[in-house]
Amino acid sequence: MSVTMARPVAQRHPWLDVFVANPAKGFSDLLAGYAPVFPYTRADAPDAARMLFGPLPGDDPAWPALSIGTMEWLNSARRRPLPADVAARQNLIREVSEAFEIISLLQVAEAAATLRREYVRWANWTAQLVMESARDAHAAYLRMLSQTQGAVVGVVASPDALQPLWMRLCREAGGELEQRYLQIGLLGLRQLPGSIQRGDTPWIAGLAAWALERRPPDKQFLRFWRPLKRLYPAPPATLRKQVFNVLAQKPFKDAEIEFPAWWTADPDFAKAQSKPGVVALEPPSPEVVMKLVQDIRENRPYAELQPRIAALAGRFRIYTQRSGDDYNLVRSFCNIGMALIRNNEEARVQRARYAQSLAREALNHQPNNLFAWSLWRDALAAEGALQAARALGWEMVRRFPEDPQPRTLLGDLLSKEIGELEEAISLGRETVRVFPEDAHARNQLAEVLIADEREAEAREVISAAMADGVADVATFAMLARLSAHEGDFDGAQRAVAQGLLIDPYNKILLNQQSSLEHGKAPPLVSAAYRARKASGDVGATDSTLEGVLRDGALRALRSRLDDDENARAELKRVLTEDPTFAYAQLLAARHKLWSAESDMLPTVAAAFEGALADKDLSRLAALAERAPKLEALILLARALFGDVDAAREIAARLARGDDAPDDRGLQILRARLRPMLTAIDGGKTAVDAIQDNADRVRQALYDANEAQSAPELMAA
Amino acid sequence: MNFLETDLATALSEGLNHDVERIKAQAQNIAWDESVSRPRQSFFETDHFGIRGPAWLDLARRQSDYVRLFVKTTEIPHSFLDHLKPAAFGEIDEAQHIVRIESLVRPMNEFGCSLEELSGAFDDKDGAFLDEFLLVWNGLRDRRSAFGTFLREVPDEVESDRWPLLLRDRFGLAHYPTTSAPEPVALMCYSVADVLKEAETSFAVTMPTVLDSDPWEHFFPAPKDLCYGRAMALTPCDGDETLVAEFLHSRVTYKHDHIRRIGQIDMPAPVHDIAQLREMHLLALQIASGREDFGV
Repeated sequence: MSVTMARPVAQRHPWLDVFVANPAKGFSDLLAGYAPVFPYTRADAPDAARMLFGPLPGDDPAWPALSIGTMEWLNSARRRPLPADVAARQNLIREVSEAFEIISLLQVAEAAATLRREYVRWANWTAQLVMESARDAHAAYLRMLSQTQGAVVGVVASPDALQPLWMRLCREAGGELEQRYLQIGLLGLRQLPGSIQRGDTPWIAGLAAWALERRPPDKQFLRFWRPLKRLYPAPPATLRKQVFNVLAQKPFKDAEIEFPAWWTADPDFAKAQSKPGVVALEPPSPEVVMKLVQDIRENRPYAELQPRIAALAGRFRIYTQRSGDDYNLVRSFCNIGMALIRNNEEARVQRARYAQSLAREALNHQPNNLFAWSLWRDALAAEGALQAARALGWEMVRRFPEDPQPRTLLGDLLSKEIGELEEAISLGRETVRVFPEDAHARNQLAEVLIADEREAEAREVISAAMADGVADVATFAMLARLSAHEGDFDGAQRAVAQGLLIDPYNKILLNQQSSLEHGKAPPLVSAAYRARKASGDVGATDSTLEGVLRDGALRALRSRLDDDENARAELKRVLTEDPTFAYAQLLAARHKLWSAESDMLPTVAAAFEGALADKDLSRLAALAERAPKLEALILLARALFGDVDAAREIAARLARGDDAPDDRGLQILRARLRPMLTAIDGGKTAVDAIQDNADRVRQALYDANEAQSAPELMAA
Repeated sequence: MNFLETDLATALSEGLNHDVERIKAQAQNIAWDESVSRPRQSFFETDHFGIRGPAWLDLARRQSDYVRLFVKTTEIPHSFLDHLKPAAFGEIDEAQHIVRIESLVRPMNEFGCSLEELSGAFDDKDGAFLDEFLLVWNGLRDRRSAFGTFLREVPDEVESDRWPLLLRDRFGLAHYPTTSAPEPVALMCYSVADVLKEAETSFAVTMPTVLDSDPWEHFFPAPKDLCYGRAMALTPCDGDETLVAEFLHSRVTYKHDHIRRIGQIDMPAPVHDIAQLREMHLLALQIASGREDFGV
């Protein structure tokens, strides 16, 4: 019998040559268990991979092949439909998760950096690949991002850029996200390269942020705290100072949380004073920010300003990492960004781009901050990327359906800057329908109609506003211009007089009054709409912006899908180009232009639209189990189809207002259905009120579903 | 297992006559397995999953597909499903302890700790740390069937300082060769009662079959009447008395007191000719079962 007791050195496995020759196939075979990699054939792919690749020198051709093979396989998996069959689906999720795990275990920097740069794409795809904790490709993706933060230093621009993501996971764990995501959020904070270098402890801020949201009992809190304390041993005094620095920040003060709060259960904190005898960590002072904003406004040269802004931004970042408090960073970044794009033509493009980066960083921290979204859109427009600004404006309409402001600001952009009057009118009509009580939206629509030389339609809009009691000073000023233009000076003077009853000192009306008294008609088109700029554009600069713009362009198309065959054809073309485009599927399902193949599992958003379009109560009920986030929408949809119990329940929930703060669906529905709720308060039955407002309810459902399914953003 | 489906029978025949010993071994495992029930075999042969063709490679891939779809899964694995009538052992003393080796590399990576940190917590009996580590690990584990053996089968090995090496070799864990780096491992130990507590079917402890893992030349089916499988060690079998009984059991949620020891497999695995290893193992099985016809 031939016996060899040991292999003295690791030999390069012969299969690696096969792999290098065709990395995508090799990687696929490895995940499927087809690769002839004895003795690792019985091992799971991540174990086999680390034993095959781990011992290889850095210059082995198998390394770049691994990066290529992983990405090619992942890209191809992303384009496949999600299987409806449970066994096949859990297997796909296992394979995807193992692919991420291989990148993490072997620190495949290039693939990790690509997956990080394309966060929007991968995060939103993997969000569909969640069955349970052992089949959760989203968690696997996030874990991979957390574990490769060190590997991508030098490959990505900002190695610490994922800090807001980790904080968000901590905050949302146990709420919108499963509790297990807290561990991933903390893991991400523990691996921040900058924090490791500085010896910071950002996970304390993460844990405190979670505790603030969830208010855990002592036992539950200690479960997470004790392992961290063991992993990062420090003298009690140091720990107390680090915790104090976090708990001294605004969110905790606002919530009246006092040091040591949840740490009381730790013997090292039990007898701690309310202050550990140190000065609390503080953000850069407001005076410093104000001085900088003032200097920007005073048109100091950009070359002088830029280093000052960068230094201040860096201080905010460090403060935010240590304290977990992003309030000051977001507010300051938005203020500085707005000042940058408002005040100077000097270095206009550089200023605009810097403002964009500030907006996007602010959005990483607070994805639903309307001010930061507006800054991003305006900074794109300031750069001259008007079409990008337009698409982003539409994306804001999708994400904030309960707020008329994104619509009217987009209306301004379309009409005043880009000259897309037809689109502005279409948007304006939709806005007036959705927010009939908003006077500004009606005035804007009338102004754009006037600018497009459609005075008769403008007059109809104005008349309707007056009849509905939502006319304001600007409405009367506009009516005065229209009347005077038609030669009806008496009518114009009556309109001015009516306006002055509302605001006797209004300068515009007083000027109009003076002109009319001198027999002179005020200009028909208002000054803002006369100064239309020529349209121009620059392309999307990265995959995040590219994804947002792609969605935004579809949101613009949505307005025409009801009655425009060309728009429907365009939607079909988009879906043919990318059959997995989630937002296109959703819109197409609504219009019955698309349905999932029998062996494919559609996204919950598209499945909801399909069931709504087919008025299929049983599919809606089945969907409720799969998609708890859509529960409120599903209840309302059932009520729309006459389910009395569902109508009562959803009306009660909308009226109560005690839902979780992160239940966007309910928030949107409540804002959009306020008149209907008033009718219920007035004695109407819930089911009758819902039936009477069927169109409004349907639009609210569409909008809430679209907003809830909007991709998560992160500029990584 | 003799296939009724022509393509599968042809493929198996190709495997059995293959020149490559490893492939022949994988094919023998299918041909010699007596513990796959009729309903399970029928499912394997006829269900519309994966590949089905007349070549050995098709059959091997079908086996891998089957394992990934129905054994290494989040559903109840076929290994334990009542209606698939797995081979079980009747009454088992619930107080008996089961041992198995688990690699710690992936759970440590996902939890974010080093072996030193984990060992330190284990030595200090830091239950809070270990519980949190296990919470992450348990969350990552699916419901796949687990190979295990009774503690009474390997008492000396478990107590030895060299337990990671000894158990790796006795259990035939050839996929831990550790030629490049040591493999951190835990010796998990829990009772049959722990298994039964979480069991979801009537068959929580079953005979290992060829369909419970990928094509694997270090697996060796045992005669059905032998009761329990027999792990093929990485060193040649000296006789039937050295055979270690092995079985499959359904998922156990690990608790910190299930971790008996933590260590490293830090020496390369012994390498022996696979045909000779199997020949000796077969002989021992024949002797142990009194079945000279087995594997012939």
